Amino acid sequence: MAMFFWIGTALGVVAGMLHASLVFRRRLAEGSGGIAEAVYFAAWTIALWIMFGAYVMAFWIVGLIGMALSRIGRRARVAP
Amino acid sequence: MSRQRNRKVAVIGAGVAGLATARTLLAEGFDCKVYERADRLGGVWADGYVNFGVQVQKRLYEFPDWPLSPDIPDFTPGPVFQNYLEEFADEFAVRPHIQLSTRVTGITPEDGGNDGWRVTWQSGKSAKRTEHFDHLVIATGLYSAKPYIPEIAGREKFRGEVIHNSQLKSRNILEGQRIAVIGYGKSATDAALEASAVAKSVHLVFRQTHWPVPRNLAGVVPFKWGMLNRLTAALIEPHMNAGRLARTLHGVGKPLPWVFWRAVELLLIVQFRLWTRTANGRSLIPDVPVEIGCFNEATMVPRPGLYDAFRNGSIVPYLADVTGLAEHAITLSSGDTLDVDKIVFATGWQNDHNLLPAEVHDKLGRDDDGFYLYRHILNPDLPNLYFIGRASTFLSVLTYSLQARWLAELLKGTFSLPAHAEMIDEIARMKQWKRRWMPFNSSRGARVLLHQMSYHDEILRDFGVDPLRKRGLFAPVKELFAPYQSSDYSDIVTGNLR
Repeated sequence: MAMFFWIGTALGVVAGMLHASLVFRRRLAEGSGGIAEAVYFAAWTIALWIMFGAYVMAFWIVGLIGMALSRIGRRARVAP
Repeated sequence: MSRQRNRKVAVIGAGVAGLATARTLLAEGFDCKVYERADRLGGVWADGYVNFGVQVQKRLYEFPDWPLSPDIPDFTPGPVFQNYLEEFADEFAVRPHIQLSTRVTGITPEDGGNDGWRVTWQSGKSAKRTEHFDHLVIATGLYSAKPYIPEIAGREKFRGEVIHNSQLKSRNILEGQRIAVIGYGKSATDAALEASAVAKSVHLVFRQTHWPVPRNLAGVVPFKWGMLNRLTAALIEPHMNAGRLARTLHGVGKPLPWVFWRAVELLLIVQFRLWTRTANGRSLIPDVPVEIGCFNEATMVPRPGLYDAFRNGSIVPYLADVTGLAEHAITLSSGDTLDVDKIVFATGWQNDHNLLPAEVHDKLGRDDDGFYLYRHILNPDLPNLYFIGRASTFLSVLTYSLQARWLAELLKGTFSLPAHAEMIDEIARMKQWKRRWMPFNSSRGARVLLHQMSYHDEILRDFGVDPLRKRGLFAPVKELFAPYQSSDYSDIVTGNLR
């Protein structure tokens, strides 16, 4: 469980950094608060990904299994 | 012809879209004249069916800088909303510019619209008059005023009465009768609930089920928290101009939106107990996934009690086509025959713009799913002609107010339109995008619904305004989780563009 949590958090850090760079660039281009506002938004983005990284990974796995099962179910219904 | 120098504008229609447009353009110094066919303003809100009203919470359906009074119920009744529009017209001095009971009988482009438009109109029984305008705004909404009633075999044999739901002004006309309501949108379910209070029997016949949207999710949280925030917007089918992040989420991240929408479906099934069967044994659970189904035009927030009425038998639902009429009965594709005295068709309105000349129609296109416009506002081949109110969203008062601001900024010269070819390409891409996944209906071209956030962002960016409207220390979190509503844009509509 602890391992899962740490893997999820580590993935959250990576996803957060990538997302934050997009947010930073967009805020810099569109926001009225300049670089301070862009940094603030980027920091929040990383923080949220770190906080929820493990949950996001859990939902992703549940979704992946669900999608696979529903695809199998659909095929079974279509098969003669 | 320079847009900035020419300031005479005709607006056709004094409903929400027409009022928002006139108010915005008048405030910017344009000379504006509004033509309204009815004898009072308000458009669809001026003349609705019995107990009609706004189906979303009032903070979602009001002008951004003119909130509804706190003593008005959360789901604004239709007549109250019409009165609110009257007050709006007075507050912003729009009323002196409105000509009520005036029918526009023709519009003619001058030099293809480059030199403006000629509008011919008639007030009451007076002679027709024609006036020249630099710009023309059509604000008559998505549909015509002609009810749509489908052709059904044996109609001439039917001895009962056939009405459209718009004629249902009092529930008394249903008293003691056997009623069939045809349709499954908001107006159909409203009509069935009205009938169930006084009629001898009520059948609700529909050929497709739709996912209902609850007023409160799980009976507790207003639906706006679950549907009108940026997080949910990111989980629907990506917008055609979606960025890299949204494309990733729907690529490698696909299981996340999938699991989210299955959870939403589960919640709706449990909350409305959709496992209830229709009288002909069909399930009320729609076949279409909720994330696609919610882009159906018939998406509705039903009045409380609808599904209970199905279960206690006061409304008997049938999932079937109406195949024919007999003297006092309707026959269904399921093989059932229902004895009825009156049929209420809640099947919507015809989709036509018959005041537009053929040459304009030709340029707009005659596709079955309606015409497509650049930013849902204009066609690049029809200069100086604009459609405000041809975009269906959950927050249409807000959407039309933002469209009106976009138009004002365009006419003032704050921004310029892209090149003609670029706009044509954008329209072609929108057609392709919508037709790939959005359910068909005759107004698909104008349908935005849950993509309203992307649409609002897009039009704000056009005139150089930051689309993120949340303020305060927790703005980044609010951007993600808090619902967007009219008040978030109050400064924009007044022209305070920050």
